[in-house]
Amino acid sequence: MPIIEVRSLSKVYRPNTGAPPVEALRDVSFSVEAGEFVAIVGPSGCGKSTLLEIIAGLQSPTAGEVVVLGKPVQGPRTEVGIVFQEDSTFPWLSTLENVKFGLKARGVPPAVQETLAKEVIQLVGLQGFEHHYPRELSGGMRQRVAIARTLVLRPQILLMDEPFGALDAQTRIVLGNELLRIWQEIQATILFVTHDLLEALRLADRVILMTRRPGQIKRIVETAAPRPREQTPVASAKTAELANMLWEELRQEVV
Amino acid sequence: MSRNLSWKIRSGQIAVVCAFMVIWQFLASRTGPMFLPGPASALRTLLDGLQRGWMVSHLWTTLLEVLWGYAWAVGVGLFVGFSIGASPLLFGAFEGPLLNLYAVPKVTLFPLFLAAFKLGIPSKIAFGAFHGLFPVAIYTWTAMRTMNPVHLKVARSLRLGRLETFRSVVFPAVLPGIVVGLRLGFNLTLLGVVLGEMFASRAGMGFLLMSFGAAFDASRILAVILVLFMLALAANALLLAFERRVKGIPELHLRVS
Repeated sequence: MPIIEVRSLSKVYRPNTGAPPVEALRDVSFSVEAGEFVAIVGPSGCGKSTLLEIIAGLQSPTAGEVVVLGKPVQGPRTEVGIVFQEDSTFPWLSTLENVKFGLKARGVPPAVQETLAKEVIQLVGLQGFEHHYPRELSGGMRQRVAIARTLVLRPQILLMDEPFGALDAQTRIVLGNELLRIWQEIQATILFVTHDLLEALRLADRVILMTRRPGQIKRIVETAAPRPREQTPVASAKTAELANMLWEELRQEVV
Repeated sequence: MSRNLSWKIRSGQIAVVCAFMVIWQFLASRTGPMFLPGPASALRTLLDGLQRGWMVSHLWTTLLEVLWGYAWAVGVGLFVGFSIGASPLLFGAFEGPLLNLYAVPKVTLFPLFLAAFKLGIPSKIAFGAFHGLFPVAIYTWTAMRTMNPVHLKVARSLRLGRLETFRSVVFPAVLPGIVVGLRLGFNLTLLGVVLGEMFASRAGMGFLLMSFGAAFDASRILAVILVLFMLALAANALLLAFERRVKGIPELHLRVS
C-alpha cells in the first residue's frame, strides 16, 4: 500500500479582494511508496508548493483528497515533517535550541531533547555550531538547521519544498549528497519539490513532471540509477539523455 | 567589535560632551550670568536645589507622573498593538485613524485632558500616557504584520496551539520591534508629562520651568533643564541596553571572526 496517495486533487484560490480566481492545481493524482525518494519538477508558479502544503495538511484542497498512511489528511500530522524553501530557522534561538524546538513542543523531557538534538546535529554535520545563532551561519548551514529541526522529530515522511532553492550551485550539490546519505540512514520517504530538473534526476527514484498553471501531471519517469549515488556536477550519460528528453517537455511549460 | 574600537568610540563620545561644556562656558562668559550662567554655576544651583529641597518634591511629582504614565502607555500600547497586529479587520479599521491621530500635535488636545482629569497629577499621567502609547502600539503592530510568515507555518506544521504559538514564536519574533517602541514611548511620555506640567499645574519640573521663566531666574531654569536631561538620558540608556540585549547585538555572540 502506498504511503502517500494523492487522489484527483484540485485547488482554486478565490482572493477576497474580488480579483479573478486562480486555479493552482487541476486533477492531480499520484502515489508514493514507503521509502521512496520522489521529486516533483515544474516551472515556477505551477502549484508545486501548494501541492506539498496540501499533503502537509497546511492547506485544504478545493476537490480531491490526500491519504497519508491510510488516513485522509485533515491537518498537520506528526508522521509528516516539512522543510521550507525560505530560511525558516528562528533567529532568536541557537542551533541547538532551534533543533530542540519541536521536541519541546511535544513535551519530550529535556535530557532526551538534548541527546536527540545532538544526534541529529551530528547527522546534518553541524557539530561545533550548536551554540551559534542563525545570523552567524551561512545560508547552507541555516538550511541544515531547518532540516535538523524537522528530522529530529523522526517523521516517516519528509516533505521538502525547494529546500536548496536559495543556495548557490556548489552548496546545492554538497547538500544534495548529504540528503541522500541522511535519507539512507533514517529510512524515511522523501517528496522533494524543485524547479531544477538535474537536481531532481540526481536525487530521486522517480521524477514527477508538472505542467504550468494550472498544475497537472505531465509525466512520471523512473530515474533507475543505482544507489548509493555520488553526485557530480555533470550527470552520467544515461541521466543526461533522460534530462534532455525531459527538458524538451519542460521547455514547453516554461513561459 | 574589538575592545580597541569600542574605546575609540567611548573617547569620541566623551570629547563631544567636553566640547559642549567648553562652548557653553564660552557663550556664558560672553553674555554674562544674567542671561546664560555657565555649566559650573548651573550645577551649583542644581545641588542647592537638591540640598535645600526646592526641587526635590517637584522632581518626585514628575517621576511619579512619568512612571505611571509610562506604565499606562506600555499597557494600553501593547494591548492596542497586539490586537491590531493580530486582526486584519482591526488593522484595516484602525491603522489609518490612529496614524492620523498620532500625526496631530497632541498638545492641542491638552485642554480636553484638563477638563477630563482636572488640574492635578492624573491629567499629567493621562497626557503622558497618551503621548507614549503611540510608538508602543505602532511598533508592536508593525512588528506583527512584518513577521516572517514561514515561522507561523513552522508553528502550524508542528501543531502548536494558539497560546504556545504566541509564546514561543510570535512573541520572540516581534520583541526586537517592540523594544524600539518601548524606548521611543518613554521619550514621548516624558515629553507629554513635562508639557502638561508647563501648561497647567502647581507641581513638577515643568511647573518649575515656567515659574522660574516668569521670574527670569536663568540659573535655576538651567538647573531644572539639566535634571530633565539626565532623567531622559538615564532612561534612554537603560532602554537602549535592554534593546541591544533583546536584539542580541552585543559582541558576545560573535564567535566566528
